[in-house]
Amino acid sequence: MISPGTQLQFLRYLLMGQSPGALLDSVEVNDIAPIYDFIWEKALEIGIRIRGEHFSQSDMLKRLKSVEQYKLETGCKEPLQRCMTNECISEHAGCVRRKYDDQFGRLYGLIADYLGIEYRM
Amino acid sequence: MSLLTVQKDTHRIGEIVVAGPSLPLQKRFITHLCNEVVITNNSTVFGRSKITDELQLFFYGIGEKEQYMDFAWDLVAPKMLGYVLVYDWFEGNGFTSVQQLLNTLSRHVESHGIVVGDIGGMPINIDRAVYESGFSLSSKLYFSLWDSTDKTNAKDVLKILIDSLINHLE
Amino acid sequence: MNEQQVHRILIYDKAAADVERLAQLLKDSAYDVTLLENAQEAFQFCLTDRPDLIIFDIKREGKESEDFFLQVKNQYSTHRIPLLLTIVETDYKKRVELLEMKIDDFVPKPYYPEEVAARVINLMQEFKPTTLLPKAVERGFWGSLREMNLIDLIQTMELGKKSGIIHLNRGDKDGQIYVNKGKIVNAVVEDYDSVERAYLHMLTWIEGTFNVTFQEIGMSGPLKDDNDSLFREGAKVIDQWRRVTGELPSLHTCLVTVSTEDAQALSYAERAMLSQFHKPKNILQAIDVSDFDDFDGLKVIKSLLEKGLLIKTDARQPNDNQKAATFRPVLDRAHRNAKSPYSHIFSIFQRNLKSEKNSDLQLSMNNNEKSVDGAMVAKSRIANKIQLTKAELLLIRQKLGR
Repeated sequence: MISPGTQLQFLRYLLMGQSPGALLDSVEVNDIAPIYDFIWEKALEIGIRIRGEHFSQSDMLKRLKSVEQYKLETGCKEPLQRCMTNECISEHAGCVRRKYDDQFGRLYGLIADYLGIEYRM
Repeated sequence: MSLLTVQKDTHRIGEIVVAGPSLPLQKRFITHLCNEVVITNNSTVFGRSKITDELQLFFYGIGEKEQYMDFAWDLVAPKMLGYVLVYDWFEGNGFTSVQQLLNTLSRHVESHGIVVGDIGGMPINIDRAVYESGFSLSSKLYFSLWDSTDKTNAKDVLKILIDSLINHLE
Repeated sequence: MNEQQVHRILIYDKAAADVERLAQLLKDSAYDVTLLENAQEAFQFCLTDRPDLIIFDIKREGKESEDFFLQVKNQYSTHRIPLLLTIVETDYKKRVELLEMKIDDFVPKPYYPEEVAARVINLMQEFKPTTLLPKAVERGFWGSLREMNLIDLIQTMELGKKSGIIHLNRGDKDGQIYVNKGKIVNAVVEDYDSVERAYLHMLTWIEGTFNVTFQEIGMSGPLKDDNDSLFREGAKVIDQWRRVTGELPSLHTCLVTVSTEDAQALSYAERAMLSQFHKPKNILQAIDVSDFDDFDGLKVIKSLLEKGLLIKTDARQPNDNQKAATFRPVLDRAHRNAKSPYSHIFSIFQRNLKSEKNSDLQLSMNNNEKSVDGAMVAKSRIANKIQLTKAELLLIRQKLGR
């Protein structure tokens, strides 16, 4: 389980419009997906608070990279399902990390956009 | 009535601990919520807020890092309503020490709490609606921003904590 | 439709050694494999026998195989058949192009037949719910419930007023939600006889996979006329579930009863749940086989864990003995014998390491250290007992305004 201090750190960067790249480097690969889930939840909360009834998750999903697309770009031969559920994390830790690095960057940029604040890489 | 004459046994009291790297911030937070505030010579702040004649909230502001890291959280935790950790939103070192405290606390204490970053009247360009109801970090722990230059804002922070307690009892 | 049916695989390729080896491996895995070299015959086979998967090499015999591919994709009755492409092409852009053309997976050539066979078996698993449906269905989409939960899926279908079936898989259990023009009309899951209960149960599946197939749904009579109330209720269920599960070990954790000596002191619900764990069982299984609703079951398990009556079966030594030691509870004498409110308030604040240790608390910590990880974490964290009543808290809330 990720520590609240780590959750808070990622949330702080999110609200400050700061890229989480440096934070991700210091996080264990197994913790990345839970942190992503946490931030995704917070992103949804922010989306709903800003956009009210007009908020849709599909809008956010459209602006993120699909797992399918990521897998394609890597030329990975594993079944898509394994990539979606990170089953291959023990064999391809670096790949999982890259996948999330990219996705975190997009999500943070998207939220900065929603919040109307400058996003700093 | 002197604060020191309050007899705990005859009143219903809810206790809230306020901690963080900056004692002046804790003091400000407590002052905005309490009609009576006492600062002791060991740099501890005590505040009392009367809800009704029988019901009161006690706020204990504990000093800076040395004090709160060495604080007997294990003794106080079972009795307190919850804790508030305050720090300067823009100050990295303050955040780091709050982070350390939070991690230590979460390993040993399972209490309701809220972490608040004080924006001190500075513009952050984020709509208040985004953070005024707080962000949950777990079922008992929340985060929110607080503007220490707005005297009414501490109440909004406290509401988040009280709401989480009410939800817990439901 | 019978799940035991034999799945057909068409291999459209030259009968080379590796291809024949692949065909044999798949036959050994109980697939009905047909190997055809002629494009026209292969397409005819697709129309008449509708294979569950086609494996083909797009480069072979020039344009003929491309024509075959287009025929399959343009024909309504065959366009949903999953395609696995074997390809010499390694250029990234070309591969992207192919996947955009709705190729489901590809394998670079030369390949190891064993590897392709394994991939085919995986692909067949992935497509299993789809292939078991009637043939005339539209293509759908699939993914992980961590990325899109049930509410997101229904919202997506509502947005486009779509009809179809949402197939969910929790890992150990399957379920289906039938949606007609964006409204839920049926929900089916093992052990749940009412539609509403099945729907509420599946909302708690926050991990697993989904597969949506668009098709006409003949049933009428939505679960509720207005999806909004279902969404609100659903979002609340998901949120609560996440919160409660966040305080527990993984739901796949195997637990077992430690002792039932104090069982008489337990509530009826706790005793009933405890009896589920005489043999090791994971949390999800225990809730499924019990008479409890998901939440109630989860709460009872949480309570049993906190009381130390359930432990993880794969016991590990706690790794933070040292941390526990630094957090050793100490009771200041001044706190015990507080003579004034002032001393009560402040004397307990500052830790006095020289003061007397509280033997009860110390004992409790030691017991926790002997326990196993999951149970210990829940037990050794000191929880606050909310000293005020709900009415008093509501009074405070009222005083704070708005």
